[in-house]
Order: sequence, then C-alpha cells, then structure tokens
Amino acid sequence: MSTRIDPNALKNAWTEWFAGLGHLGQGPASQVYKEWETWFSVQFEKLANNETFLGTMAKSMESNFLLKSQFDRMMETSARALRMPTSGDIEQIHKRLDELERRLDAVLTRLEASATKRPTPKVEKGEG
Amino acid sequence: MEAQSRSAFTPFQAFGEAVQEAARRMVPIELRGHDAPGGHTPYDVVATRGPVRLLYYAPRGERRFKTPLLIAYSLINRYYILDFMPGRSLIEYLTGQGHACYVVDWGVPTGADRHKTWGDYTLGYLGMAMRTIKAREGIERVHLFGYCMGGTLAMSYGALRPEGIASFTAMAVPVDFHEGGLLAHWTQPKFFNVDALVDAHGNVPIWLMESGFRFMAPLTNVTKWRDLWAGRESEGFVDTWRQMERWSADNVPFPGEVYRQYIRDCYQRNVFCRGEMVVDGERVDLKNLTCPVLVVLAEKDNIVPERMAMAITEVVGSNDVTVRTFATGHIGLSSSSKAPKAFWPAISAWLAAHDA
Repeated sequence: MSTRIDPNALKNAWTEWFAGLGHLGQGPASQVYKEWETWFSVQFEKLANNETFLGTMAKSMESNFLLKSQFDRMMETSARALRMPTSGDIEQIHKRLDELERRLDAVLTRLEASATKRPTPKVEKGEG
Repeated sequence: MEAQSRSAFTPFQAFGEAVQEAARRMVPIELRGHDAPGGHTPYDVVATRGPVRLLYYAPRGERRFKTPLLIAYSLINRYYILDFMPGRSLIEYLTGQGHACYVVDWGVPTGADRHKTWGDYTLGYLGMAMRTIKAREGIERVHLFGYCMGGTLAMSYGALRPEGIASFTAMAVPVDFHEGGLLAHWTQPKFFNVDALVDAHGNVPIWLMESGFRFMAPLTNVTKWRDLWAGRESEGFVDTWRQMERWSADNVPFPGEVYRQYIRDCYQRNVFCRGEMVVDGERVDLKNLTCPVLVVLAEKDNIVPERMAMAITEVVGSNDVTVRTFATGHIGLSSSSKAPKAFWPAISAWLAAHDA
C-alpha cells in the first residue's frame, strides 16, 4: 500500500513550513515563485562560472585543508613524544597490507593465466 | 563513521551529528527518506574483501543466458539505485529476463582504505570479482556493465585485462572529462587543490561530497519539497520520493588516493580519455577494449553530459559499438518509472544478442 500525506494529521513547526512551501506552487504565489526561480537560476549560473568567486572559494578551502593538516601533524608530534602509537603508524601498517594484497593478486592472475594456457593432457589408453 | 577523519575534530563532528539526528526525528515519517528501505531483490554474497562485497542476483525463473553480467556502480552513493524499488529496479528487470547478475557493492571505505589506489579498485577488487565469477560459473568471459564512474573503473579494468570481457555496457559513463560541465570547470587545478584535500582528510568526507553536489543544483533543495507537496496524494509518489531521498542522502566517503588520481588524471589532465592513464605501472590503453560495446546515454544528463559519455565511441578499439539514447536524466536511467518499458528492454535484448 502506498504512503500518502494527510497535512491535517501532521502538525508541528516543520510540517507547517512544508505546507507553506507547498503553497508556493499554487495560487497567486506561484507566479512570484516561478519568477524567483528563474532569477535564482540565472544568478547561480553566473556565480558558478565566476572566476573571482571560484578563486576565493578555492583559497578558503585550501586554507581549511592546510590548517587541518597542520593541526593533525601537531597532534601526531605530541603523541610521538609520549611514545604513543599514532594514526601515521597505523597507516604504515595498512600500506604494507595493501602491498601484500597487490602481490597476492598478481600471483593469482599469473596462476589463472597459466591454467588457461596449459594444454589439455593427452590421454593414452594403455594395453593391458 | 569514517575512521580517517577522527582527530581532535571528532567531538565537534559528534555534536553536529547528534543535532542532525535530533532534527531528523522531529520530521514525520511520511516526510523522511533516510529510513526508507534500500534494495529489495534477494541476493547472495559470494565474495568479500575489505569493505567490498560481490553480490549474486540469480535469474528469476529459468536462466536463459549463459554469460553472466558483472555490474560496477560508482564510488559515489550506493549501488542499490540499481535495485531502486519493486517494479523499478534494473537488477529485478534483468534477472526477470533470465540474466544472471553479479553486482559489486563497494561498501563504506574507512581510514584503512585511504591508500587504496585506482589499481586496487580495478585490478584488485574487479579482478577478484571476475575470478570469483569465472570459477563459480565455469566460464571464461563475462559481460562487464558500468554505470557512471563505476563505468570508468570498469573500462580501465577492461582495457587492462580485456581477455575475460565478453562485452562492455557503458551506462552514462564519463570518458572525456573536459566535457564534464560544471564539475570539469570547478575541478580545474586553479580552483581545486586535490592534493591539499586528500593530504588533510585522507578519504574525502561525506559532508564535502554532499556540499559539492548540493552546490551543483541548489534549487533542488527547495523544489524537491514543493514536488512532494504537489504529489502528496498521487499513488506511489511519496514512497518513490522517500526512496530517492534515502538513496541520495546515503553518501559514503570517497577513498582518498582513488579520488586524487580520479581528479588529477581524469578531470584535470584528461589522460584517461587519451589512453595515457597509468595504473600500477601499466598504461590503460582504451584501444585494447575490442569487445562489443553498448553505450547508454541520457539526453538530460547534467552529471555526465552526453558529449562526455559519447567520447567512448572514439576511444575504444571495438568495431561493434551500439549507442542508445533515452529521454531522461542521469539517475532516470536506473530508476525512472518509464525505464522498465522504455529503456531496459533494449539493454537486455542487446546483451541477449551478445550471449556466448
């Protein structure tokens, strides 16, 4: 059975907001909303292609990433000073496991290739 | 939760998640998407490695075709869009037609997967899937089927190990990344330092992936509610809406090193398209892909625009390339109500015609 929404049965601030939003598609508000939607799309298109905006976003994101890297490095140094294992140590173990997995895959691929190439043995009937 | 991002930031993240969860609980169930069921067709897990599972969907009724399919979905969102809803599921449709389907579920990458490479996801995981299928079925060749970025991964695998591929189906697969619309524009090296991101976060966090996609189409955050209101009394509309909400909100972290190579080699340098991408020391020469190829395109695709996907016809070495274009969007190819009658029969018929 499919779910249906009875707006009268759903009463809280969230659903009031939802109902209000729904009315944007009906009545006199719909024309205003459609115009806003068109205007917004045009503005967004301009913004999404604006070199200055994208450049500023890029700088801001990069600073955020560098800050996080620096913070993590600081934590790592502190943990090392306390002779505690760090996430860097665990990553090294994961890297080695990845390498082992790759070698195993290479062996399996070679085995598969040699099994495919192996000629079918000739069956000779002996005379008894 | 993604283990990689655990650091001194964790308490702040935990607080943010608790606030989000509390806000979700305030929303009546009819308007919630995140707890809608995901996937419904029964399957068996036939192989696992790390976070990855290989799922087997047996043909419903009689198996009509010898060659099974291996379906690879993108690393963005989850595979079960291919099993969207009863009556609107590509997997359900194909198994109903008598095809045996294997699907790769990439799972949820953790900090342990941050150093996994493009090679690990292709030669490693897809290689493992191919070996498992061949051994289970006692066959030499498999139909490879890729959707979205999963198709780019599958295509790489097919170019590196073409001998086991019976055919390749590319459904909305990005190939020429310089034709990638807004995403191609935003990921230019001058606007996007992928090294700084991966070095800082390891796996790309969910919030960052989500904010990128929301920014691509900001109006949908309003229009989806308006649409829900408009369709609130239509038969099945609310269930479909909730299912789509659940799927689109079910993001997973993107494995860090795979992301670095994806952005750098595909979006920024576009070397994949030129057959110059290098994976585990081997060049991904797309001319090696000589098997029959089916290209499935969506006319209104704004994630993988037609020209971006159509480039496959020029770069593969196959002499047998079929192109089918459907009047829908990127996700519509796998979940539209029109798909079971208008899109998928053509795919099934093509696969049937190329059965061993």
